[in-house]
Amino acid sequence: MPMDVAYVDSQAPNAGAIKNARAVVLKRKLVGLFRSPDGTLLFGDCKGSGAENYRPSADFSDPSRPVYRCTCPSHQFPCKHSLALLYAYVEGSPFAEKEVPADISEKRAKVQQRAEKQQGDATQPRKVNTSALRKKIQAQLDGLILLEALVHDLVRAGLGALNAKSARQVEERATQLGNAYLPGAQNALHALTGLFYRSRISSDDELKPADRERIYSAALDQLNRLQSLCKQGRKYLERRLEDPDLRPETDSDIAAWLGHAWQLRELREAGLVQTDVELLQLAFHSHDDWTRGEFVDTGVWLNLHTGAVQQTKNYRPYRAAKFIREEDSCFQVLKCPELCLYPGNLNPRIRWESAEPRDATAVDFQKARELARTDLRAVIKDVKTQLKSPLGDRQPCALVRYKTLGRVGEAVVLEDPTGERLVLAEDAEPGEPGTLPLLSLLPAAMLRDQAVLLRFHHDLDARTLHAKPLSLVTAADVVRLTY
Amino acid sequence: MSLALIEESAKEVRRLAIAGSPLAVGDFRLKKLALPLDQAGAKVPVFAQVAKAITDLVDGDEACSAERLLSLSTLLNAILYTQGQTGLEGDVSPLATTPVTGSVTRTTARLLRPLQEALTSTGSGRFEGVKSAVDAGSFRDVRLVDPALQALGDAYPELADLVAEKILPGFGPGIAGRLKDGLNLQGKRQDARRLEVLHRVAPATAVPLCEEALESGSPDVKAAAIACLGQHEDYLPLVLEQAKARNKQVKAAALEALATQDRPEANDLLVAEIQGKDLAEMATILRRDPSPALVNAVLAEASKALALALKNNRPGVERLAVALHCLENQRDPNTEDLLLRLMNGVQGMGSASLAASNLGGSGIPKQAAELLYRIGSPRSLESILASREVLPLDCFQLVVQTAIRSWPPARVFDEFAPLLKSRKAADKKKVGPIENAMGIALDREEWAALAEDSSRNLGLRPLQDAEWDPRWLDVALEADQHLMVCYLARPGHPAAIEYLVKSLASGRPVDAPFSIRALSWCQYPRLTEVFMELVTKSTQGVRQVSWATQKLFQSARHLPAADLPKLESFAATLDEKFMEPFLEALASLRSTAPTA
Repeated sequence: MPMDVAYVDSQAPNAGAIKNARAVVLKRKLVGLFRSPDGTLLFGDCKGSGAENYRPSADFSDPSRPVYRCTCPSHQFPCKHSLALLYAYVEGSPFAEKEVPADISEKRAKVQQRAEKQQGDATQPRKVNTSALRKKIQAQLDGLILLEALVHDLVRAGLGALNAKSARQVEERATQLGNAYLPGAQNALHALTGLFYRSRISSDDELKPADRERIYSAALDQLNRLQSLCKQGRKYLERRLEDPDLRPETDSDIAAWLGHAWQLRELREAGLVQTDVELLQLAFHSHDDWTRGEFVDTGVWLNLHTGAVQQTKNYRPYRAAKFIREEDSCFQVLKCPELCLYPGNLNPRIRWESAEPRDATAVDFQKARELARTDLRAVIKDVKTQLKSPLGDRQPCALVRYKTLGRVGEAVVLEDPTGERLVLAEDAEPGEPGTLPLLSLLPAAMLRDQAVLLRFHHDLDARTLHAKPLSLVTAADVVRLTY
Repeated sequence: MSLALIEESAKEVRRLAIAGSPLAVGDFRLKKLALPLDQAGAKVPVFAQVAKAITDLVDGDEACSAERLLSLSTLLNAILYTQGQTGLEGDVSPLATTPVTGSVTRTTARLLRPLQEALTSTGSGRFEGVKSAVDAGSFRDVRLVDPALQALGDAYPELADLVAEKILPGFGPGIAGRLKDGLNLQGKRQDARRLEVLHRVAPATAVPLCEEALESGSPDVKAAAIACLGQHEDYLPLVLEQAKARNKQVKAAALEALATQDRPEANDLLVAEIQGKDLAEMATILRRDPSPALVNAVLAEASKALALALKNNRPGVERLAVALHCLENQRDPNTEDLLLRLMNGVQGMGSASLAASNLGGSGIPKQAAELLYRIGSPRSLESILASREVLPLDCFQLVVQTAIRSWPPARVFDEFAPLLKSRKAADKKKVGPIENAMGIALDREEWAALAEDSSRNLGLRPLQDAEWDPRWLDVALEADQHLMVCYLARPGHPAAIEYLVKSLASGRPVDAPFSIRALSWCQYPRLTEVFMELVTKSTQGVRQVSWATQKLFQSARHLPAADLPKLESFAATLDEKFMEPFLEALASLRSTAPTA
């Protein structure tokens, strides 16, 4: 199994696990290092706090989906012992050849059986408990009525009456939305109330009058979204109530807005699948979304087959963050045998079950540049079409070819080969550094005839549609301006 | 499309959403927009939709006002989202680029973000992370330029200085524009650092700003400007002028800059300062690398002060102390002559000379003895030994060290060993200094590491090669001087080994690492077993890893590497909280152990 330190780093659930795993190697706690004769299994013995040594292993029988096992009690996967095994491997420690242990052989067989069973299940029609589903949909409809009532109460009282204290009271009332299987709607409401206080922990978090003035337009837009969510959600749920066999809607992302967690199986059944796809990550960002109570890792990827700019989202709720793998920047091309797409939006969310990395080459960067859109006017039109939908993503991304990145007065502008222009500006994405100041530090050649990944944002008060450059794609590399 | 009407409507809707939707019912400002919108609707149907939504809201009842206000707002926003301004008229000029050394590297978010946060936030624990990133060469990424610039004003000055000295200059002249843009000549230390970095990366840009700072800068920035200009001979007159400044910081910066230029006009001014009352403020400059002219000036001052000090004149003593402080790094014959003259007169000096000076923290005799010891010539050392009877007690350790360097081992023993057996209080006070001198002679550094106490280490030249009279060990055993026994223990001396084993069993825990080191020297065959027994004893019933236990674990490095498997097996028997530090302590042993 060819791998390097960067690959092992990418397998770690978080930075702490990397540090701990390296410490395990450094302290020479790995007291036995073995590999199977066919090289698909690395395993070993590792000293730990228990009376017996732990037995970590890394199983590469399916290289696109490695399985890490360990006898330690950690809930992190891979644990520090399994990661330490990989670090020892990439650092050239000698691994003695040894037959696959019996317990791992058994587990491998079980995995095989499970995969076959899953494959068999996939072809079987799924049985749906219609009475339970009806009950759930009814609860969701009741929840939407509650949400609508909350929204109308807020509008009747006026946004001027909403402050940090009352925003928190609204959130408390909205906890019922979670019980009504509407976590998506609850998050949308929190996105509104979260505008009215400065932090999730401080008690002294009232906004200053000048700050309040700046958020009213965004708050009203969010109220519009909530109203649209109630209306569209009700129609959608009523249709499903009449026909419980009806699949979740794929023409729009209303199901996700209501909080439906799409299963890969459902996406396959809906035909939202592409096969043998290669993905190149263009940008990455991880931020603490305290209105949702989650860390959100967002990757922006270019589909090298279709040219679509797609997104991965990894949500890590605070309470479980330690046990969920934190995503990181990826500089390799991922080969996905099967790619599942979520419904809706210019940049649909994507997921895959297994992917194999390979080094990105000049050919990939050249292809990425060819796939970049050359007609800025058409891009802007698509963006505006998405923005005018109340439930559309407010920050769509696009990879665009440009003739020049220059200046008109104080503003930085992008000009495409047809002479169409777009003003570039920073946006308010939390925890992400500004990128425009970096442009002047780059070689001048990068500012002409390249491709740029843009993230659009519309300023409701200024009535402008601007974009923030996230990465430049040159013939030699993806130059990341964020992460 | 008459967008102004839509924008006007959106403005009114925003106002009503803030005030509360019931106020929208009958609102005349909104109502008056309905008619022109309806008329425009003949050409653009969406305008008619807006007009209808307004009418429904304004003419409806309060109960439906919230829903209708939101419907209207949604419609207006949908229109406005399609009308966002994107471009800009005018000629496009190229972005002025000043590429920096380095580029956007393939550094992952997990590595990059903590560095950016360390440079732009506050709180403890940031310096180490940044320093290790500097050592690892991670500051080649242009995404760190702006965070590093921000860190110039960090509340933790060590971090700000590290950024100014090690990080920003690495980006090269490309950052000059940014440094210049953010520079405030009336600012504080942050701006002073900014100017210094600018001068390092782009001197031609910085010099005019330095000149301006001399005219109108704050003291911090002015001092930095003087330091920069001091590196250019052409600006000597300007720097000379600043040496007369009233502000002490500015004056000190100017004097420091002048001291680097061995020019007659600079030296004249500096000599005048040396002869004046501010000699103490010149000490930092004179201790670096002064020109011969300046050294001679200090020596002349010291000679005058010595003449007064020998008459027990208090101001003379103080002046002499300051002059000696300035001469600390001098080894030339003139300085030696002065010190020898001083040593000859020590006996005649009064109590004033023994008092600690403001700068050195010690009296004149000790200052002089230390300087002579550093010079280290035979006549200097002889002079210390000749004065040993009249030198104060705080010089006794230096006397013993000098004796070790100068006399045969037997003479050293005959002179000082009797003090170990003496019962006189004055003699007992001399045992400690003998022990310290012995430690320095026998590679004090290693022993200091065992004790983690280098406070008594004078930083003087260690005497690893010194030979010792073998009788010392017997005397030390007889006097129960544990540390001395540890220093002097040697293979084939059963009494010493017995003493050390006994001390491990019943002595103080803090002494154990010394005994283990000594037993290791003596090639004691049961050392590993004794060590493990001691570890078991020290960890039984103990809740946490104490400092003494930590030091005991660390002394495992003196055990035979062949015993590593035995020690690793033993580690498994320890409690979990002790296991990790114990295994860590074995790391150094592993590097010397034969690999399996």
